Order: sequence, then structure tokens, then C-alpha cells
Amino acid sequence: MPEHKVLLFATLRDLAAPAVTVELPTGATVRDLRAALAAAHPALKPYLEDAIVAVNHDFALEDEQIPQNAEIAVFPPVSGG
Amino acid sequence: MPKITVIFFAALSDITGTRRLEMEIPEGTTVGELKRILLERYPGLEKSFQGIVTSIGPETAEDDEIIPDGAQVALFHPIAGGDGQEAPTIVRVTDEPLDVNGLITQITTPAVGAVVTFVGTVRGFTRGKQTSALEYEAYKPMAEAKLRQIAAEIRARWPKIEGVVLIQRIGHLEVGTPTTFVACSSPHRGDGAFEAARYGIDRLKEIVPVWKKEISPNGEEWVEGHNPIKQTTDYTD
Repeated sequence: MPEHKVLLFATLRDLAAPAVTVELPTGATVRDLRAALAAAHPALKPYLEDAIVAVNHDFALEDEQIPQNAEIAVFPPVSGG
Repeated sequence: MPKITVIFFAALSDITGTRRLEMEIPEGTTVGELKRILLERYPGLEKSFQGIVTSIGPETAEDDEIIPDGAQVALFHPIAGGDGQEAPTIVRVTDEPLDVNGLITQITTPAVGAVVTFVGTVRGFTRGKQTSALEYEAYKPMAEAKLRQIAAEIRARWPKIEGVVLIQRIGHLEVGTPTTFVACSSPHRGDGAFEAARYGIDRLKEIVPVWKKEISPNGEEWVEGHNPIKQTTDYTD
């Protein structure tokens, strides 16, 4: 299965690492990514439901497919300002 | 009689056939009277005078302002900007201190007569809880892309806005330190600059991937944030 690098920020980064790798079948969606992350990094599990997924610097919806070589990031709700 | 130079920008110079006009005006002539004199000379300008902005030297001038001898009077449309270029959009995620005055200068083009600014700072008390400092982190490339998106949204909603600044400072910031700077400039104060600046800071807090950790005498804690997208799933596992 193709491997994807996933960038993590804030709480998620503290619980795992700045970047992790997950394996996803071709055509996998954002929903599949959440499940794969939860399986590979159980510490993240409680936070993944509320986490936001961004693909190529844009917010991604659950049914969106993850393209090959995309820049993927997963992070908690934003609190800037 | 006072001698002045009139400069026509963009489409206006197409009508007058010149960008620069040296002329003499009666003592005490105002900007409004000069416009009438120019209309007599170039009747084709009439349509273009709608929404026109006038400046004397670097300052925007109102119709009742008297034009001094030797003045350089520029006529232009706010959209084109005083130098014939778009006014700047400045977006940045930075760990450098914010140069508020320098940034205001950058969006104060000759077309601008109003600048509205917002500075967000680190607050020492929130609902009775003490904060010593905030530690900011950003997903920088996406954060800057989202700041550019907000600037585009502002320009679409308030077309008379000239310059837009949206800056988020990151890193370890003590109480009282500026963390965010939003500024919008426009020809007049009623052209949407207040609303645009308010929109800018509200949107920044809503969609820009930045997080802050609160550092207090009792420890450290990530500040609960805002979810910019509604989850379309009932994912629970």
C-alpha cells in the first residue's frame, strides 16, 4: 500500500511526532486516514474525531479522496489571533 | 497666479491625452473648482469623475481644500491606486516583532484617506485565570495561504479597500505583546475599512491554522480552538 507522510500540529504533535507515516490504499478517503492514524498511533485516537484534515493547504471533507504525493496535515481546531 | 502640475492616472490620461499638465489657477482655487476647470477643458472627463480621488502631494485632498502654489495635484480612481498599481496585500506568519507603523505606511498609498487597524495582544487574565505567556505555533504555508484567501475575500466584499495587512506573530509571547495585526486602508472612512478589518480578524481566528498554548503559574495547556469545517461524519472510532 502507498505510504503517506502526515504532518501533525499542536496537541497531536505533542502526543506523537511532528510527522508520521501511514499506509493507505489507493483511493482512500479522509475518513480512512483518520482510522489508519488511530490504528497506528493509539495515543491520537481520542483527539482524531475533532481533528481537522488538510490536503495541499486546504480543508478536506470526509469523503474526499487523498491524492498521491499530497501534503497531508492533521491538527486540532485552530486557536490563533 | 499659482502654478500647479496636474497628473492624470490610468484611464483619465487616455481622455486628456496627457499624463501631466502644467497650468495656472486663480489664487484660492479649491480642488472642487479645479475639477470644474478641468471639465470645461476636457468634457470627456465627466463620466470618469464619478468616485475620483484627488491628492495634493502625498495627501488625499477633499473638494474644499485650497490648492497652494507649486502643488502637484493627482487625479485617479481608487481601484487603480495612486501610482497606477494595486495597493499592497501584506500577509505573513512571523516570529519577528510587529512593525505596526511601518506596515501602516506601506498601505497608505496616495489614494488612501483612512486606515483602520486592529492589534491583538497577549491578555494577562482570562475569566479570572492568570496567563504568563502564550506559545504560538503555525502550519506556516497553509496559514499564509489562508491569510491570502482572507485578503481576497475582503477585496471581494469591500471593493473600495486599498491595502490589506494580515499578520500573525508566532513563538513565545509575554503578556502585553502584540500577536496579531490587521489593517485595511481605503479612500474614506465610510468605504468599508472598519468592517473589513473586523472581518479580517474574525476570519483569521476562524480558518488560519495557528494554535496557542497558555503558559500560567499552574502549567501549560493548549487553548481550545475553533473548527473551520463542519464534520460530515459521525466517525467515532
